[in-house]
Amino acid sequence: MISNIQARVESFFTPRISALPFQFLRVGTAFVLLIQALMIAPHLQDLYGPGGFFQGPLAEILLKNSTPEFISLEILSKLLHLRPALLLKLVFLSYVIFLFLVLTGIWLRATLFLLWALHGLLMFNWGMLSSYGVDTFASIILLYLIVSPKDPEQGNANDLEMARQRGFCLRIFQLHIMLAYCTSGIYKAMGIQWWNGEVIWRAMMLPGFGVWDASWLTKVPWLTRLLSLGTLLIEIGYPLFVLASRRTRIFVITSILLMHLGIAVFLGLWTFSCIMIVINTSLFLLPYRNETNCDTRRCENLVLAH
Amino acid sequence: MKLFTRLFLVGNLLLALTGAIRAFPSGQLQPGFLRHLFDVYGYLTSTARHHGFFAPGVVSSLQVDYVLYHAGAKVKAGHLTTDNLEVRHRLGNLFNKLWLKKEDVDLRRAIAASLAAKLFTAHSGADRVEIIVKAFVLPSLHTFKEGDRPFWETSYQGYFTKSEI
Repeated sequence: MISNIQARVESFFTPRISALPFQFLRVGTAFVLLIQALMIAPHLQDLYGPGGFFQGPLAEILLKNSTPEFISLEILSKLLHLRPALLLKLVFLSYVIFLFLVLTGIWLRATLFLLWALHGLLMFNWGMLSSYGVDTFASIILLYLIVSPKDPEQGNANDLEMARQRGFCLRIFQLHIMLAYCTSGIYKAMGIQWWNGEVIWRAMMLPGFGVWDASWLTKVPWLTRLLSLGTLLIEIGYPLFVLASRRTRIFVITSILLMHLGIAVFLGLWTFSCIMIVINTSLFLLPYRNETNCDTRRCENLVLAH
Repeated sequence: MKLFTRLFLVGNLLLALTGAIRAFPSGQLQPGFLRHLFDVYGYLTSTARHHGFFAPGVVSSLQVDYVLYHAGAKVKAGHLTTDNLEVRHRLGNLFNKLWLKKEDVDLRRAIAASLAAKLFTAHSGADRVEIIVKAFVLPSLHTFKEGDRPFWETSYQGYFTKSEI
């Protein structure tokens, strides 16, 4: 009995995974972050610099209660005897170079670690004031990419142990993302706007988000409620749907991908949506890509090993 | 996979769980090295973050308008925004600090003064600037259907001269 449970736990946490999901995750993330960096570059000093919209001491006051003090760009600039604005440019340039190296797969382990450090340095200084979900998920992805086993060109692709190592890393990352969606859904459910559909109306009509005129929604008020309640259902139920069966997993991942596509098109949050699409594709579509209609548990062993 | 890596991944997931339910360990610790360590780790790995995107709802949008003057004459007016969607969202997050600090009058003025300083840097000919922060008042879907229309409501207005900044 105990050995049976042990075997099931072992089988759940160490499925055999090909290198493809992590390769897609790496390339997709680096590509999206490169595009994002190109969009930010002309406004670098405004958003991340000491001479930005919120300058020097004010930024420190605003950051004081929201970020811990560690390696700030200001302290680093004093240590290196460089002007903070110049140091920021150098850090950003290095960040872009490392993104390119990660995209092309050069010296992966070291470049991923340095990219993660540079990302942290940029986001958790003055940049923290303007950061949002895309930065959170980028740092989460980069950490898993650092820890994940090497790509096949650097290791033995057919090594069973390597496939299981990848599987363990992927499974923990899957649980992390399930946790993120589920808790996000629970926090949403605490607000009345998500129950009466107002949140969809507001998000699409407010100038801060809305890209198109959404006044047509008044003709189909049921649609806003359907979308908001649907979001609560797929986010809160995400772990259950993903783990229950192949059909429910396909249903929830398709719904989530459509939701993120909608967020990109209607709210203009393109980089955030693309990162989430990359995560969902890497973790919940690619590992199961050879899956056919079969019993779920049997599929775990059949389809994850290739 | 080495045992250390496995333990690290599990430990990281557990920390992410505490962050997601807003019970990250550093909040429970006395100020000191260990708390600082958790804080830094939590931020660099985003395990301290909860994932409350658009939760519990969507608040109003803020817009920052400005009017630049030279020797008492208006030289330029506009609002701080951009067509670049990525930057526009980040600016929105920055300007939302004015919303969050509504009760703190001095801090709000300091934030507005910082925006004014930025404008003086970009427009060296100006000697006075008016900063107007407006909130978008959006009627509900049902009252919109009945004829109500959205409008901008001034939530902050301040004048700044170059000499005081």
